[in-house]
Amino acid sequence: MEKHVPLDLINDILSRLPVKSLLRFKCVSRGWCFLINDQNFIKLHLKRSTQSNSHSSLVIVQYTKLSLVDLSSLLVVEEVADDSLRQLFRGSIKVLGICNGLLCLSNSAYNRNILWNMSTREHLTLPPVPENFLLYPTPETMKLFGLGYDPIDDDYKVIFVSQTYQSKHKGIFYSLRSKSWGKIHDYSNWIYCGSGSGVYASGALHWLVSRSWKEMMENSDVFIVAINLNTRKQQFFRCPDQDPDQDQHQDQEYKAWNIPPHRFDFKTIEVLGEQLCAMDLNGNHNFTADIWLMKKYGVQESWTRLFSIPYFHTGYISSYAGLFVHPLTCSKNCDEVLVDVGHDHARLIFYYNPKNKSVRYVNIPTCQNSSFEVQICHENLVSLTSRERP
Amino acid sequence: MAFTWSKTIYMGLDPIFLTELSISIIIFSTIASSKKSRVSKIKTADNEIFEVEEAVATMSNTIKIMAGDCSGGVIPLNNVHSTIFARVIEWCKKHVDDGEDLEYYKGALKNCDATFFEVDQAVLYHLLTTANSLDIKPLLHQGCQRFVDMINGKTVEEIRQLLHIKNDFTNEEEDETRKKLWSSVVGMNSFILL
Repeated sequence: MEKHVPLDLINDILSRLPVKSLLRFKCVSRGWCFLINDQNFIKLHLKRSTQSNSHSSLVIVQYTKLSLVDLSSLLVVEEVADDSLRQLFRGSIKVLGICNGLLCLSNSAYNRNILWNMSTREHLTLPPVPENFLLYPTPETMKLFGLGYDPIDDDYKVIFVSQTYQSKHKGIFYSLRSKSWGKIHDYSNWIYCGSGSGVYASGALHWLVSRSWKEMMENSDVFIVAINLNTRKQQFFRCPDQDPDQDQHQDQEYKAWNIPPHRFDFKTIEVLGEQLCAMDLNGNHNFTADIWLMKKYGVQESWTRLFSIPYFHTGYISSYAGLFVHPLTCSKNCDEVLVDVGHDHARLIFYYNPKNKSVRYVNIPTCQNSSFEVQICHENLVSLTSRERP
Repeated sequence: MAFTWSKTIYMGLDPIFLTELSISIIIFSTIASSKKSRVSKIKTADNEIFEVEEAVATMSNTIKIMAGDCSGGVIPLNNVHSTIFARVIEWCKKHVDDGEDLEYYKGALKNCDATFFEVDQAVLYHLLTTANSLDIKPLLHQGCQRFVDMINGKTVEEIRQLLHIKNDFTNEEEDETRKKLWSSVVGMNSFILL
């Protein structure tokens, strides 16, 4: 075959195959083995996989259980029963970060950390943090963490930042390429909003923060801090600007009934596709979740409102504790978006069609109650061990 | 012109404007009519000449560029045989109005195209390499997709037979590769090793 078909065509064809076939085809011949292991091929395959969503999965973490659900069918559930993985997690499993199909998993004490490729099942235990880098272990410590890809050094990095309420802080990162821990110096004392898990997009990890507790509770000055994975320096973005008149329309209805406005407004950030995405939950008794996308990374003006999901699709919200809206993935033209919505007591996952405002509920077999974490994971061949410098 | 001048002055319209307008209309319609009938002449490697409508022929970026250089003459394609070229043109004729957007071609092959690609391997190879050299992205995309459907899910031995690939591993190397593969897929459902 190689005689007839040029190499770049073979690359093109093979990059469309699912990982299971490619792993097997490494045994076909030396040429194919070399090709499939090549870093450039792996990047091409990842790019296709991310853009087409053809073999993506939902990763569901529920206490000690890790399950994979095929995105196209949403029926096939595979519980990861890898013994070596289970041994490492005797307590509950936490997802520290997800990037390019790699997951960083940790136990509840954050002292056992594993990088895991859900497609090839390759995993790598990170070495323990060196003594002088140890993070503050007190219960008052807030922690930020995340996994990201540095495109300049072609390296995956895990970041940990901890800080006490007395405003002492420490930041460290692990580089897969250099297999070592290092310090992060450019960091300030932020109050972060949310679970502490950083959102990876465009070579940086992002957290939603504010300068003080007061500002965070009032949602008056919340913004995004980005730590660049190559330089480890901070950058700041403002959240998308809202329509100031929006809330007024909702107020009208309740004025008629003499119901006092109970205004709330808070934000979360996620990644949708490869772009940074901000969710704005605002309103009074009925709220909408606005989903914004930063179309051009770093450009404030490029925040574009994709759509608003009205409250009645999110179920009756009896409490705002732990409320979140997490868009997981959307089709090419954003015809449909898969959304994970919930709060501490209820959870809904559905496909939302913004054109006809219809909803298609999804029932995922493993998720019985509301305490689970869902992430989308793209198929990939990224190798955790062989990262030789070109 | 003198005749029209008097008429336009009478109607109160600016005669110079109308003259310019009528000249542009004449020029434009000449261009438009010549575009309709423009045909590209293409000569394949076995010296056969094809006359193809320009819109169809320029679906190939390579031909588009070469047409610019040849300006009306015969475009020579030294690497393409007439039988394959005929098939390619047949595909292009069917898809000339589909637009530039590659999104249309993404996903599984549609039925009308599936039959086009039900050919034997040698022909499929030639279609692919021709689509590549002529830079017809949608055709290339569909051809690759057909190829993927052909090889996906097959065992290693089936692939070798299908594509006439020689197993150039030594016994030790092959064992090593299989062992590495096996250890990584333990726990994965429905994985056929072979």
